[in-house]
Amino acid sequence: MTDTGNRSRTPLSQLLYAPASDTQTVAIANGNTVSWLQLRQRVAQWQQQLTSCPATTVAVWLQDSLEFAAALLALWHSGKVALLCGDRLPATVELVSQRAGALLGDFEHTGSLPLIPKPVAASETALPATASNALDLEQLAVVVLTSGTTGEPKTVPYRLAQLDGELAMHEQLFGHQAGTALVAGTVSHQHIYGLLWRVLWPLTGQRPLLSECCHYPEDLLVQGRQQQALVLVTTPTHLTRLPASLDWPAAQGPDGQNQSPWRLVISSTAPLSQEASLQAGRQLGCPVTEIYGSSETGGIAWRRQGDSEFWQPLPGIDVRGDTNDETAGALQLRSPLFASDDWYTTGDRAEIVADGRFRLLGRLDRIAKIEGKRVSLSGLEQQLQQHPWLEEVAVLVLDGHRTTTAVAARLTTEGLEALQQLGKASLCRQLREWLGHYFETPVLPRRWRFVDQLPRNSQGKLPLAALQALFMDSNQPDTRNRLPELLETRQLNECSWQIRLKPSAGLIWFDGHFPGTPILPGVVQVQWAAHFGHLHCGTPLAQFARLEVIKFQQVMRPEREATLELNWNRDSGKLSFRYFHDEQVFSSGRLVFNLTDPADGECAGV
Amino acid sequence: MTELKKQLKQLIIDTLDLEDISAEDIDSAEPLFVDGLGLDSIDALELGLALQKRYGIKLEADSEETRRHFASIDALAELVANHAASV
Repeated sequence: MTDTGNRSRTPLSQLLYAPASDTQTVAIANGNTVSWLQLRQRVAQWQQQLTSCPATTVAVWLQDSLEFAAALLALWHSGKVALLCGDRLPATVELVSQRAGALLGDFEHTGSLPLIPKPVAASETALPATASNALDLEQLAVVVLTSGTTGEPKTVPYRLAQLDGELAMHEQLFGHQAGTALVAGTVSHQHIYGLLWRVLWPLTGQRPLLSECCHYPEDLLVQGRQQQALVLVTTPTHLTRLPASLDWPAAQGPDGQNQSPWRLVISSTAPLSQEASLQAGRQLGCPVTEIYGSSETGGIAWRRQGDSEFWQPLPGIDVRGDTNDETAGALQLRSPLFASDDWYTTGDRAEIVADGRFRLLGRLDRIAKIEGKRVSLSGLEQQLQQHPWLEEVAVLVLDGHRTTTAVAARLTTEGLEALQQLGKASLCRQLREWLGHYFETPVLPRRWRFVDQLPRNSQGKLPLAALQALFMDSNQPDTRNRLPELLETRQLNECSWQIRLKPSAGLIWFDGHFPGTPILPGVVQVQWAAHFGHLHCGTPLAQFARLEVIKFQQVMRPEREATLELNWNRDSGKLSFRYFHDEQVFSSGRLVFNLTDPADGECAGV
Repeated sequence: MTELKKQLKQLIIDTLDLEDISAEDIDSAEPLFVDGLGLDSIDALELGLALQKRYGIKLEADSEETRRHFASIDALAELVANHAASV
């Protein structure tokens, strides 16, 4: 055992070689305490199951975290490697079958691989697993399956030393604060974050883990009422959806003392806004500690937004900004836990400030985080492209109350027929269901636009703003804070209008764009032109083809009046717009609509 | 009950900002999650919040038990009606 402060830590390699006292609690499962002896008995049973398995790499998917811990220790002590998959979709099992020799756990679909069944429950007198030697830290421990940047899934290997090294970092930083609190979580151990924090960190830090995953806030409330001390391992998805009416103060310890049971709240998979971080901290009575990391690297840095908005690298990790042309601005890191001393380039852009702390500025590639779940937009596109209804597909991310993926697509003849027969809602539902065989539900597209032409610019590229514009006429229930205040509308002639307007400060478009310096986004200016063009000139929104010429000259600010001038040329299908005030021009541009084939237009169910 | 079901359908559409469907498109008996409407666990969180706000339903008990009521519009309507009757 190694000493970290006044708490001791058992290295991963010695969990069975120098196990904790047999009577010590290792977990709480179904409301019952489970001892280390019982865990070791279960490990022995799993080892028995594995004796006839020739495969060295075994794909694991288990619902229950304690069962998972037992199977994992059995695999390691049988010289095997666990391949972790985030879900058990048939497509995932197919992928896994090229990389593993067997499946272990709660798989419904097994494909061509043999399934190692769960052993029956241990008797009280079963022999516990022991190890005559500590495991070799250089041993390959787990392989994580993750979505690569190109849409092609990839595997990331972790040696035991790498996992153990990261656990030691977290123990050094947070172990004292957590003490022997029960570790509960809302995330699955099938991903590296949950694996480290919900299973391995409790085991090595000799604090009990909660075997069941807390999917809902009420599960947390129940734990908060039963336990005196808790660690919460969670994500922004959960922290931003804690009901205000859950009576958290009542959950503050059974002794009625005015003290929150939450000793440590860990959030990862995506950054929290400062407001959300502070709000969740208040609700739980414990500041939120955010961890930044990735499947490829494990943990990289941490922060508590009450103290600082900057990320602080974990002990021993060096960071710098990449200066290569192609990946300029990318965060690079070097870690004593990596096999190589080379700098590793992440897919995130960052601004480094003094003493290695940094601020994250978004992704460099086409990987999106949808509610903390990583998905390759190219991967979604490639899969959708396979569908007989879809001719050409572009996938983008739409931010809003909930971040979602959205699809702009050109339908095949078959697709157009399906659209006419089924209607848009049913067509989209079928496409979603089909895509659900390959991707998890949260990342499936929720917005669909079928167009005659994708809005390509003169270089044949798809500008993001033009794609976003397709979605801005979405049937929003509330347009009050999406449209400007109208001061005066004047018709100049049959096809020209002038609209005096004022973007009020309460428009959602100023939220975070940008903090402290609100500017009306260019894409919103384009959308308003399209909106009022439709309203006054009757331009057919559904047949929007592309943007031609767009120029942003001066920024538009909240509460500053502007006049929008629209000219609609029905013959060429072009709508010109200009925003100005007195002598000052803010922006101008031209939207092109495809009017050639009215039949197609009808099908474009935008 | 019919009126309540219609209300709940609209609540789901508004809360989850669902596109292209109206209350009439949702079958009261069809599953809301995974199959059927295809909602996910994040939607379940959102829906829980909305039910609290709108009907004052506190989801504090056993989550398995409570979330069973999220299976369909029929089940949800029963939950809301029972809650209203017990207040």
